[in-house]
Amino acid sequence: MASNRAVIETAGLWKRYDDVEALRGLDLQVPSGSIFGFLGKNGAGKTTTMKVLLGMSRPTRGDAHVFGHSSAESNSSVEIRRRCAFVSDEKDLYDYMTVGEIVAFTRSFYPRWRGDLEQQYLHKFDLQLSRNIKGLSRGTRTKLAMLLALCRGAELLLLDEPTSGLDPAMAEDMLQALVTHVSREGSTVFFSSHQLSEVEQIADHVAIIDQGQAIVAGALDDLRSQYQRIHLVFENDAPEIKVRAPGTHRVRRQGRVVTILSSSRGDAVIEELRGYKPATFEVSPVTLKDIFLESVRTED
Amino acid sequence: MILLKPNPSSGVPIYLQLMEQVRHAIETGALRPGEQLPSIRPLAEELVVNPNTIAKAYRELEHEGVIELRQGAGAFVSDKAPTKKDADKLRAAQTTVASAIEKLRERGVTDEEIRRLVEAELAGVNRTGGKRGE
Repeated sequence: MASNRAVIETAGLWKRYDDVEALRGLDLQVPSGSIFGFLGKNGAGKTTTMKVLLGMSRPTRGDAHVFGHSSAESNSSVEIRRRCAFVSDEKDLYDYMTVGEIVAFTRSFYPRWRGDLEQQYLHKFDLQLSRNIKGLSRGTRTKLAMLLALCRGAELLLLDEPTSGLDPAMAEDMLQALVTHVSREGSTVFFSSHQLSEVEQIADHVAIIDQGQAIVAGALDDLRSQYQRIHLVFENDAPEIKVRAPGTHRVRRQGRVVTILSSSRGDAVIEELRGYKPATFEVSPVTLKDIFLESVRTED
Repeated sequence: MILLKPNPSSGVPIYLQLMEQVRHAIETGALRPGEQLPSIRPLAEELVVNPNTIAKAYRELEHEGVIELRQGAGAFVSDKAPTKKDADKLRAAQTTVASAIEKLRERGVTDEEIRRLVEAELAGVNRTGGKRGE
């Protein structure tokens, strides 16, 4: 299971497309054996990151290493792609094939192909071999693309939106497949998702990327225990509150009520706020969604 | 199944929810001292949570003395795990202490004086050979 070795490591990664800077100094460490949730708004740089990691796109500046190999060198990027399975956001599949044909076709490229998993997932994902790929629904395409990735015997799965188009029951089956894959095969999963509750459910590490930089990263439990929400109610109109303790503090004031999302856990903030003498004082835990929204909000 | 699917969106870390579920199962007698807990991998698949998260919950529970991790054999409820009886006993004792402190404060005894009195009383009981452990 998890060790301290990083499977993916990037330092100061920059990627410029013409006049767009997709990555602006991205630092990432993905521990071996982890399920790593990669979050960000659309256009934040998630897909670019995956493409750079796989050597499908060259960084303008900075380093990306996967399994200790540099993604930018063509020889080592072949080695990286041999040991990785990638599922793109578009769930690229050959539309002129049937399900059975693409499974057989893909199988022929990978000596470590897992026939046992193939049978298991064909059944579990309810995929019919005779169906034409062209006519598949979005959810079924996702399931097929995931089957092809899971059966390759890859050490690292890079997944762009692995549950897109799936209904909640099917999404849960997919999450279970990922958990099983990590626990039985010892693989590492690096996945992007907009479903924050899914990420919260199975990920042990997360990074939030915004405008090409990782603005929040770490073990999910650590992040969650670092943030807190503080709720103050005053007898009369709430006073103007400025928090001096270090960290980010989003203060919302409405009538007699003040809500603060604080990134610095500890007594300093609480002591400071008690000084305003509120009538009631509550501290409650936050969700990943709270942290995400706070981190990527546009400054006004 | 003794453990239920945790709620990922409650804001409470999943390992803490699992720890609470195990403690609760022991308090209610659903899990008894010496009994084995589910192993990490099947439980991760069953609950659809990260296996590292379950490992963390088990490590923390071991640290608290609630369970024992035996190399290669799995996790077992500790013989010393606090049971429902212990929990009830402590809860009742806390009520007694709270009401005693309340009465003393009403008589104008300060908190510092109460603390000294309690400590002196405990020390005195030990000296006179009362049935107080070390």
